[in-house]
Amino acid sequence: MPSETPATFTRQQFLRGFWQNLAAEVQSVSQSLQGDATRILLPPGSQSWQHLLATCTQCYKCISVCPHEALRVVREDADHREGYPAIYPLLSACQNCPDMPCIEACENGTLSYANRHNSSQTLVVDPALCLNGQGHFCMSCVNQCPVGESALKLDENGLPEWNTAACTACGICIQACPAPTNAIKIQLEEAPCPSPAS
Amino acid sequence: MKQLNRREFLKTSAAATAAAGVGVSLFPGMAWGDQARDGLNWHKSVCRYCGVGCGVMIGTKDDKVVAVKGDAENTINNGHLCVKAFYLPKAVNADTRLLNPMVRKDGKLVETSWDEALDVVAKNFNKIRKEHGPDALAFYGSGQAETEETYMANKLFKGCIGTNNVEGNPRLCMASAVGGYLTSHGLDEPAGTYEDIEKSECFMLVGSNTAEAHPIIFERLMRHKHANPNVKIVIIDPRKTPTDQVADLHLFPKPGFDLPVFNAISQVLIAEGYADEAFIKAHVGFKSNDGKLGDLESYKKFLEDYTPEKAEKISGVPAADIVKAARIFGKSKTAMSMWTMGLNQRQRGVWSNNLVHNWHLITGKIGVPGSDAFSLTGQPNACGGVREGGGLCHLLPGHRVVANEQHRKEVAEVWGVPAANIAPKPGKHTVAMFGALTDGDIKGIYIMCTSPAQSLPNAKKYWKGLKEQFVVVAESFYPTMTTKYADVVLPAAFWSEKEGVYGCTERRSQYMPLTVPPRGQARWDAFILRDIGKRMGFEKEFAKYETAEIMWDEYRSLTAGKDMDLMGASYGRLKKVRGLTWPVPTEDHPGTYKRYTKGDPVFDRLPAEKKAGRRMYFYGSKTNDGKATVWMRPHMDPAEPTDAEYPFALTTGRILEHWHTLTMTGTAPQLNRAVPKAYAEIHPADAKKLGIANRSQIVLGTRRGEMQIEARVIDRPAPGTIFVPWHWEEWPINVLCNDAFDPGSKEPEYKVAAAWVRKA
Repeated sequence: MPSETPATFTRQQFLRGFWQNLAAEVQSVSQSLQGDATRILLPPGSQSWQHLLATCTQCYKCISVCPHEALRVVREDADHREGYPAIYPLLSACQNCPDMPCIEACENGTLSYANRHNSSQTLVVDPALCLNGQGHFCMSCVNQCPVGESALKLDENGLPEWNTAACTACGICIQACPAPTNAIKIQLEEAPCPSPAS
Repeated sequence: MKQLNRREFLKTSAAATAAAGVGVSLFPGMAWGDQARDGLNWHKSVCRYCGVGCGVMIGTKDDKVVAVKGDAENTINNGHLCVKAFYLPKAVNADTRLLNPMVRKDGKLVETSWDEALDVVAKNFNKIRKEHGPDALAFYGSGQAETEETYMANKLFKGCIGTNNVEGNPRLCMASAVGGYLTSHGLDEPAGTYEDIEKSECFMLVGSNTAEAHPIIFERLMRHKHANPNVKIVIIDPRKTPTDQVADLHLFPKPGFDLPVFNAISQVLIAEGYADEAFIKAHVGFKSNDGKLGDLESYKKFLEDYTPEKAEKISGVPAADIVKAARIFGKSKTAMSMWTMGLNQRQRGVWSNNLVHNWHLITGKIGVPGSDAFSLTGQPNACGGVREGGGLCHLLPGHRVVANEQHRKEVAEVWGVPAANIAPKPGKHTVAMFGALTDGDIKGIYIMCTSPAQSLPNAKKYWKGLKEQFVVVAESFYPTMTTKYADVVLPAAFWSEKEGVYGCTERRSQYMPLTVPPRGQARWDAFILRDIGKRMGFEKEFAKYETAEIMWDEYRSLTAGKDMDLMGASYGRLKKVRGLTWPVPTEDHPGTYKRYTKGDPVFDRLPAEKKAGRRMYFYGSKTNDGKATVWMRPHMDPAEPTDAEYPFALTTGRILEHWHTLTMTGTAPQLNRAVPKAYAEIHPADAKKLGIANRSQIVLGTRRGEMQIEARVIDRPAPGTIFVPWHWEEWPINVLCNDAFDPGSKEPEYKVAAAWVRKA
């Protein structure tokens, strides 16, 4: 992107520059959106996406016992997780059932209580999208976190900050975010699976 | 730069277009949102929502409101906005905006011309007045209406039609705070301003979920405490809320049983030596509950019944916590108490207010920077339009009362009507007014900028009157729960489409410009009322009101020399500054930070001998000695305590994302997704006993109705308490609320009703 405009430029130069910039912006926006356009979370009690993809038998018992229809089958996914169970928090977040029927129903231990809080996926805010990062004041995600302050609170800059050790990655915060573009991102420790040659 | 192939470009450009629509920059180097700000006209204004009074900049383009941002130069919010304000443009441009007048014909509301609609109103009102007298008519307005609008309504109904049946929804909200200030200080509204916040060491948040009800005030508290870790915050509330983030101590009284706690705090303050006896001697009088004069000794005797141990028995709050709270308050050099509906919406709301005022009066924590008994006002213009403008059945503009002959004369003279027009007896307060409507004693009512069908306590009881009598509704959105009862619906211009003044919590009057023309056929409420007045035959009484400024200036003239002097607050000046805190007697006066003390022009004018030996003079004091009053208010149970059949205390309230009856916040999809529906918060221990799972359906009922609703099992309401937010028409929780009211303030007891709960 040019940092200064030349003193004179042709219409063609201007238009080329404009469309290049537009393409660049579209690409970066699309990447940030696409990385979260699916915005899916692991089923509760999962170790990581790699582990899930390697061990889940797709029996779908977890999906069938969820009383809140929070677990769904992944359809289209750039990271090739099609067919596996996941939470789509923008559609229906996990409600943190105390008795965890999903974990109970899992046939082979892909979902287990030991993994209730794991660091393979973490939630972070995009300060450029968060209303608090724009000089406003919002607390919707914090107010609605079912775990409370120990999992999610505002940091000293007023931005939401997650504590992985307490967060259950239920996605209620994602659903609650009222920013024009959802400000909460899901960060994965490692890619779900090695991507085919691009 | 990686080249996009055509497929990727097409696949993602749709998403990008959507993103661009919400302000993703398409031009290099610009921050998010800047592109949206380019080419816009920005207008300094005030937020449409709560009583904090945040400054906003309204961005318009081609006669359309397209953006809102915080006004960085407004000292109230320093450019910050809560999430509701952020989405105001959606409300302005919503499909649900009412654009055409409607009249009911053959049972159906049909669009019509303004001419016909106003004719129907004027003819029916005149007919009712002629056949049944002026008191068969009524006006019910709002703390969200502009001061000029309430001023016109007051003149029309009190000055011309001749009825004092003029009320407004602040009766349901702030009346007890008004009563508290009048009985404790002698005059309404706080002695200090928001400026005290950053100067205070201690905050008592009593019956206030500040984080959700007054978010930008909460943000200031949060930042202040973060910057000053020695700041202590005590919360007194039957419910844990997001406000608890900043709490050092939280007392959980059983709903409606908190008065002993407030008295017990005073008991400890005195017993442990935190009372300022010199301050008391010079500035404080004492009255027993029956109004008899007492003194510090008789007060100490009264407090013997309110030791922390005795208060614990009644309230359930551990005595040790009461002592802790009192010590925090007493030890702090400066302290602010802030409260809102938890104290006001009670059948002893005035008493609750008095008891919190007592803490400040006995310790002298008032009238100095950082110390104040600071009531948080709910609505944006309850102070300006209704409390100051006199929009209640016993009031007249400029802190006057209908019962005072001299007051009636002063107002009548400015209005250009015979003083005899203004009735000397107060009209019907809100609950009585709608009761009279139900009984048919009131046959015609004009409802402006509020939805009583949803917001009244025990709401269902009053639907009959709305249905059967002649109802005119002036409203900006359609439909509402109230418009369905209307015989005439008048499209009112909305915020940003009309100029006028809002006066917020801290006595600050702020100007709002007309930034875009009213949509459709909507007209400004003040002009609607003016024209109805003319059509009813009061042509000469309303002829002069061509502009908002004329109305504001006339109203202001009624404040000259009074405690709420606004003579220095012309539109010209208000347009330039970020509001002015009264008293502001002249154009070069900066406005007043602290009342009743040096710097307050009314205090400064007092003769020296009155002020001798004292730093404050409560010049409105009814004891005529410049002293504030400590009231010895006893405990009284709520109107409907829990019992075996109704074992839960139902309390209602609001949430951050939504406002009142959702006419405005309901137009923002993001706010609706954040909180799409009502729910009932229930403590996990109670849920377990009743076999209620989180997010399952339950039924809850009071003596007035029952409702199925989703349960939210959460450690927020104390065991035995249920909390329901009141915003949704589909879950009209106010139907279950109790319309018992405070005999002094007439404010209903929304905050406590006895309820049962079961699985659905």
